[in-house]
Amino acid sequence: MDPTQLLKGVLDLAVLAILRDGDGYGYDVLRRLHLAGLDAVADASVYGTLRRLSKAGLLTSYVRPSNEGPHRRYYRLTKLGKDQLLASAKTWKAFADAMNDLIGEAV
Amino acid sequence: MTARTLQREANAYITAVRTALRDVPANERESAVRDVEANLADVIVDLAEDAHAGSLHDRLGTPDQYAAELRESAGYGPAPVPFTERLWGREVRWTNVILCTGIIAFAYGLYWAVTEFHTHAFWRTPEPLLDDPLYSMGPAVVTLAGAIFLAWAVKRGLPRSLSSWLSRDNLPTPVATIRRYAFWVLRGWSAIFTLDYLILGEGRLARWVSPGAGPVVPTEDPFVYLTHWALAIPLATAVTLSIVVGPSERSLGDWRIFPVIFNAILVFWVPLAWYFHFI
Repeated sequence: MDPTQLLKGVLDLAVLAILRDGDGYGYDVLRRLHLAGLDAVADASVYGTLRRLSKAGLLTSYVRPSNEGPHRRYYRLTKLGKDQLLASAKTWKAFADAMNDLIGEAV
Repeated sequence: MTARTLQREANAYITAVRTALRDVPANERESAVRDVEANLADVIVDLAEDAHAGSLHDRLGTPDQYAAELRESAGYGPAPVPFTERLWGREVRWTNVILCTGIIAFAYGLYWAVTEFHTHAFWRTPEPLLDDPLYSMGPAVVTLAGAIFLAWAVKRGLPRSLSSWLSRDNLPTPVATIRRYAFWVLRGWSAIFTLDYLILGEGRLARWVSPGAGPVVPTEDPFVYLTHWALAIPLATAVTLSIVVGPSERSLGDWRIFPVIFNAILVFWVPLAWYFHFI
């Protein structure tokens, strides 16, 4: 099974969950996703997801200068983003539970 | 890989991603490209710290792949299908037609300029060239028209294979570096020979720059620049300029089509034409 295909469906939730723990810029969110075990996430997917979630009002952003290059755009969860995180997390847990029950005896 | 090489690779990468997103509204595209710049700055720091980390392409995929992922995750929608039409029963991609017209006109305009000025310089035409609008303005008009068509093709998006060829940056192996410097030296040499003998005629520039060189026999020998130390000054200047400008051409992305054609005329056509005496 290709994990990148699975990730596409849950990347929004993963990014929202990462930002629940604190504001972050694109590369920082990517690193935290990798540290969480989601190694297959590509750079462009994270940056694109952040832009789309921001446009949808789930995130706000602000810019801070960086010593290592261009300014960095930091993202923060909005109230709408927190609500979405909660709703998506419930959906995911129900889905994961059902899948775990289904395949539980196979592994 | 050195930080400088990586930065050069990053510049070409950013240009290629920008080109791949050309259908996205300008404000959104430039904002997204600023994200790409920030991303690449962080990746470069990581790559520079790790000697075995490979290139940007190894780490991020090709610019087209990066742009496709960004496009999908940001919700920009699929890339537009190239505009084609059926003409005389065959499918015609108009960007290719515009591109080919641009290449032919731009290259022929440059060729015409060299031959026209060469004829004037060689035969020492008594009337100034400007007296005949066809001969004075013709090369300029054709070159300009070619440049406009080329710019139009770049704006519409060059064919993917050509675009990635223009943006590619080979690994700096010793052989590649020597080949690249040899090309720049040849280009500088050809440029000064073209300007001095084929366009101005009889080494006027060389004599003006280096009056101490004594009488220069009117000749079309490109090796005349090695016969006297003073004649080496214009040669060294041209070669130095060529080498200084060389590395930045890689960061032009699709716009590199202009120097590529210019170089082709200068480095391949002029020496061939000179050798076979067809100018």
